[in-house]
Amino acid sequence: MTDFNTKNPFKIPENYFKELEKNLIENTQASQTEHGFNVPKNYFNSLEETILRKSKKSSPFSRRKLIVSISTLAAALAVLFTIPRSQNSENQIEEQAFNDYLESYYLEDMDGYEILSMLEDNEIDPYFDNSIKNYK
Amino acid sequence: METQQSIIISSLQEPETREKAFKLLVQEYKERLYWHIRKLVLNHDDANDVVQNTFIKIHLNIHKFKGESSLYTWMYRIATNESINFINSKSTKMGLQNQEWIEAKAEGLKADSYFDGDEATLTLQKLIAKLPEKQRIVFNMKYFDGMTYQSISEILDTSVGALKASYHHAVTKIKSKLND
Repeated sequence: MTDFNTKNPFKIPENYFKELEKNLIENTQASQTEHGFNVPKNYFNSLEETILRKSKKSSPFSRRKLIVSISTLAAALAVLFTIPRSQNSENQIEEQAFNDYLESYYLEDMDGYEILSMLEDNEIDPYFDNSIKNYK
Repeated sequence: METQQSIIISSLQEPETREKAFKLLVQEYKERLYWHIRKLVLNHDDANDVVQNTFIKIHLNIHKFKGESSLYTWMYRIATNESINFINSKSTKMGLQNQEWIEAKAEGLKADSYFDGDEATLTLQKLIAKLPEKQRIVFNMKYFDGMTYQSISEILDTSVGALKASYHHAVTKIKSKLND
């Protein structure tokens, strides 16, 4: 592994420390690099803002649990309203139940990344607002 | 250090001080966690998704943190698990094994606008991508992050002996490929 020696291979420009303040300011506006990987300019500043914004939206009830709960509730309501109305629609009920089972199984089997990738932010917030209103 | 950590934890667990403490936590650890994740998932956009989800998980689960390990170790463990889950999810969706997905990502580094490593760095990344997952993670943490076996052991919940073996195997494979 001597070809990739990680023991202090870095040097600094002459008079670097005299211009430290200026360099620090410039560095906050330049992209950063580590082992060949770099990031967009100002990435870490915007990352902090994004995380703090998202953390305010997040609650101990995860989005996944919320979505699964809503789906389960919707499925239960659909079955509830379907049964008394149609006595001769057993096939439809069976089909509905099968679809609900598939849907809930599918959602349970998915992780947060997959579920969130199917939703936009503006689709998630109304779900959350509605669920709160329903329980008031 | 111990006191500082306990102050941060108690601030995070109190509703009144939680937001301010979480902001400090993000400021303090965002770059370290990002670079750890980036070396595991390789691509900036993917690392960005994973680091955000890591901090959201930290925010949601901080009340479960029992102080049995250091806060940094706990966060590092979440970041590592999130990275692995992300890779599992992406590779499954594409019908690939995790390693195949990572190898494809490593192959794409040359054209990645957020990668400016030289040929040697690129070659090293491609060889790391060929390692089994556990060896790849251990190699990154030991070789690039310079972590001690004890810290890695706490994060990955693996014995120091097993980690030493993993790292040794990883180094041997990489050396052998470099000599080919």
